[in-house]
Amino acid sequence: MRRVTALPGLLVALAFAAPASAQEPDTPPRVALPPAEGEYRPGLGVETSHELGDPLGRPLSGEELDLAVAEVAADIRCPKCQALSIADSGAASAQAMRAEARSLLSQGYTREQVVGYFEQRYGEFVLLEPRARGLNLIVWAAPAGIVLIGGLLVVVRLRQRRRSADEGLDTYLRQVEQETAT
Amino acid sequence: MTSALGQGFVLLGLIAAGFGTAFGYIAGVRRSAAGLRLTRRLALLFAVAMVGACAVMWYALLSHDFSVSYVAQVGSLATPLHITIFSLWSSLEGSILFWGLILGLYIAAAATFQRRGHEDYLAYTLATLLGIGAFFTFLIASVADPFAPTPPPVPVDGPGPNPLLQNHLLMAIHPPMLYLGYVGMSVPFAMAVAALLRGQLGATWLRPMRRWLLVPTSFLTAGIMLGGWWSYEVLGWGGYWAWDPVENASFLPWLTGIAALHSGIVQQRRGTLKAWTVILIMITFLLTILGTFLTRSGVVNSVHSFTQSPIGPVFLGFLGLCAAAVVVLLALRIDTLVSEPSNERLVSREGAFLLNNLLFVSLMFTVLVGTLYPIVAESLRGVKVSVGEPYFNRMAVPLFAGLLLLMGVGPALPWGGSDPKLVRRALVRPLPAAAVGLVVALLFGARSAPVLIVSAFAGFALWVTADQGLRPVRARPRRQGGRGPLAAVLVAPDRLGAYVVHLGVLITFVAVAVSSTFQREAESTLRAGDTLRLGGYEMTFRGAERVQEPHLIRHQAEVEVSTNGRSRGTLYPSLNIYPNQREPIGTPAVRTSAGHDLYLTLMNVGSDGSIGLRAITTPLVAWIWIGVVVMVLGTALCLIPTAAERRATTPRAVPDLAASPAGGGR
Amino acid sequence: MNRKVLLVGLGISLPLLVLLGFAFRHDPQIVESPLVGKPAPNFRLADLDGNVIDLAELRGRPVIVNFWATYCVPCLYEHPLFMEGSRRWQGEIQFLGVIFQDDPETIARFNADYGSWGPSLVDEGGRVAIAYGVYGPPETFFIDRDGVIVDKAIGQVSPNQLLDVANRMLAQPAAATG
Repeated sequence: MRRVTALPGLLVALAFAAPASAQEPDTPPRVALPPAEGEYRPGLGVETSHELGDPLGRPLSGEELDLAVAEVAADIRCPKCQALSIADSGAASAQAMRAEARSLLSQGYTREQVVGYFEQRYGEFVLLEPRARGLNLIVWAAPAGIVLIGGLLVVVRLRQRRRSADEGLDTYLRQVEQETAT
Repeated sequence: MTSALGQGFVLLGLIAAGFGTAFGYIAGVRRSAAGLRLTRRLALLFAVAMVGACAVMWYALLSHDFSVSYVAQVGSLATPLHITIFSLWSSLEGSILFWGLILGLYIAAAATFQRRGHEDYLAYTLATLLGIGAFFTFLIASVADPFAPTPPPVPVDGPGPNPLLQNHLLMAIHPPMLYLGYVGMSVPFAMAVAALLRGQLGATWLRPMRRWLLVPTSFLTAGIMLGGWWSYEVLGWGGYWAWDPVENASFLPWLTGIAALHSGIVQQRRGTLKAWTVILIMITFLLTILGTFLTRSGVVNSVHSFTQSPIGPVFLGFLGLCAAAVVVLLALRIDTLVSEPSNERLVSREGAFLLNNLLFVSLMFTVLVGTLYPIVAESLRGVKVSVGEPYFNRMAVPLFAGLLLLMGVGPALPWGGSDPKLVRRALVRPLPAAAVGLVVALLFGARSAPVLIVSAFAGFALWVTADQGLRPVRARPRRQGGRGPLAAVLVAPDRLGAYVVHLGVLITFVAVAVSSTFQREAESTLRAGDTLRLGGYEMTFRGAERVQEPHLIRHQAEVEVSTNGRSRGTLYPSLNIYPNQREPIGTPAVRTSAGHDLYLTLMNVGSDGSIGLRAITTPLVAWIWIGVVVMVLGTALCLIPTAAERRATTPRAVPDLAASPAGGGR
Repeated sequence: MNRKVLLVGLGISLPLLVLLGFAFRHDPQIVESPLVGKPAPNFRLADLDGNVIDLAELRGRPVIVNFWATYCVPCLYEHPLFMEGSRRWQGEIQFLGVIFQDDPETIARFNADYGSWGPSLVDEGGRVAIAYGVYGPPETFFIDRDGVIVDKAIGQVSPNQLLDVANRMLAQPAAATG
């Protein structure tokens, strides 16, 4: 029993389990949208710089920044939802993560650094595309492997069938010749 | 009382299915007509029992009989009538009962419609179907018993069904469609088992099998589309397909089902690929069981996954049993299905069908590996990983592009393909259409390579589809004088139907490619009077209101939409809050037009009356659904009996059973 | 008997079935945090009254950071346990609550009604939750005297778990820190 997500069974369980003290949920979520970059209260928040290291890119802004945020967001799984990326999800967590990505990219961190930051905090699970290394190579090699093996089988089959069809034709012709000869 | 009645029906179904399985196989081995009659009666009894059980459950739901555990779980006095009816399939136990109902109906249909022309196989077919029925009734009678009496004290009211499922009427038809597709795959499977047991595959097997495969594939198509549409209309993220594990689970049998339909054509024409078609049908059935297992066991992280339940292991056992039976049966009997000799070339109609099957199966494997890899990683590496949309898009798009190319090239190629000049001409003639496709895409501002390639391929395929599909209409009147185009079509409606399906696929294909490439969005926090701009639209927020409904509270924003100062109407995106649930569920507001959709989602409502609004414009979305509707209509055309079949079923005509499959049909 | 079909069929279906069997051993809801064993990300946050708390300044004392919200049912169940814990280890272990996507006013009302076991910190923009990789409330991080995350709980913390980790953290010699 963990997150209050959209899992139906869990919901039913929670619905029965909810103590009477739980507030009436008639107010919409009043989670403020994350402020635009640079609007955080000075001095408060979290230090990311010493773990992220120096920005390896150049600060982005405008459309270039929008594009970079969209690219990063499409590859990061929204932690609160199930299969959606933080680009697609409207959940508050996803909005916060998009804002964080925007803030980091505008400071000059590269896309790879930002993705790495999320991976470092949430684990590999947060990457919608597994990194191509180690065991993960299975998932990267499988499609090409299947097409190759299947293609090979098709070619072998065509060869075999053409040979057997030719043979079949030969015997048929011989038969016809024999029959016409007699 | 109600509980006992329902359980009685389920037990009756279990008994009928159990005995039916045994008698059916014995009747099959002995070729006994009396045994077949008995099996047919048991099959009908099974169907009656399932209808009875579902009727009892509906009665319990509608009368709010909370002494039945399933009603206590999903029912509530405040839930509107229509939602109460649909809540039969809103949760685990009920949906398995509903599955039993559909299986019962399919079995009854098979027992009724296959009486003639399929006698050789029918006993085995029904026995296999009833075996599957026995498993499901066993499941309903044991670990997933919806009729179990509620332990006292019996509640006076219940929580109601999952809010996500209450939010849109599409949820009423999406699951039944999907189930009709899933469950329907049992029929061709049972027929394949029968063919293997009989050791023969003739025209009397192939024709009905194709029909029984076509129906569930079409339902699955509609079910998947409705699921996507529901996701688009309800979940509020602006998309329709997220490669969620459960979406993938419904996609897998669809892919192999379509592959089997195509290999069946080769079998019909050439008498080859018999064993392969049977294997594909068997894989398709196993994938429906696998898909249900993934959906219901909660082993994968998914929007749809239910909490862990004892059903998982039981289902896995059934899957294992089926897989073992299939593998052993294939190993023992596959050599009895002998293909007729024929010459095959890669560049020919047959070659195109082989490549089609290669691509469909590869696509299936790719999706399967991607869906299951997180379990592999966790088992072997102990780490949770995700395989999501970016991966699947990267892998599936080239394979789909290949299929699109084949859809153009394949039907253009002649069977046998021996004359290179003929082949060359067939491939050159549609090229201007490909060029037109390319130019149209360029004119609309497409610059990305995938979209340009898809446009060119689609132009090519569209030309070939129209050319091939209309051929009988154009050819007939000349040859047969006074015959109208309708009569010409009715000689072989399945031919036109097939190309209508291809047309639908083309429409959907292009719409998916364009809509996923040219989506634009904007997001902002708005106070009353503020305007959000996106792609020529001006969206002015007029205010939000709180609406109290019997089973939910709706926060609704009024957004006035205009383009160039001209009003285009008002949209009302909303956030719905259900009792017992904190996370609100958004209902997006969509303005659909032929060219594109404007999609508004309410992200949040502030205490100061401000809202977070997200606007998305997506081109051609409506055409995705239209394409699927065309596909389903095409399938319906395919189901009309051909002139040859109509002659064959009228009593005075000599039965055409002895004709070789290569000679029959088209 | 076609051996090839038998071998290929078994070769594909057996591993698949074993794999699916393995799947039951995992809870799809729990994702292990990569942060356990690493230094806790430092943060400075204000509580509901505006007092600023700097995690780095608490070095030398074990800290329990709990991400919670009033809409989260397991969080409510945890509440009495943390009340008891903060009483028992007063002055020894610092309990910090970080508000996860909830309204500060609602939290204040809740605290007034049910009491609070530590400062309720306002995480503007959810940046601290991101730095700690929080999937959803409640998640609890146990930080030792050296500022290293020694354990993490997902979902409701059990009394035994709290007791066990707290004792482990307290047993660590205080002298180890500067």
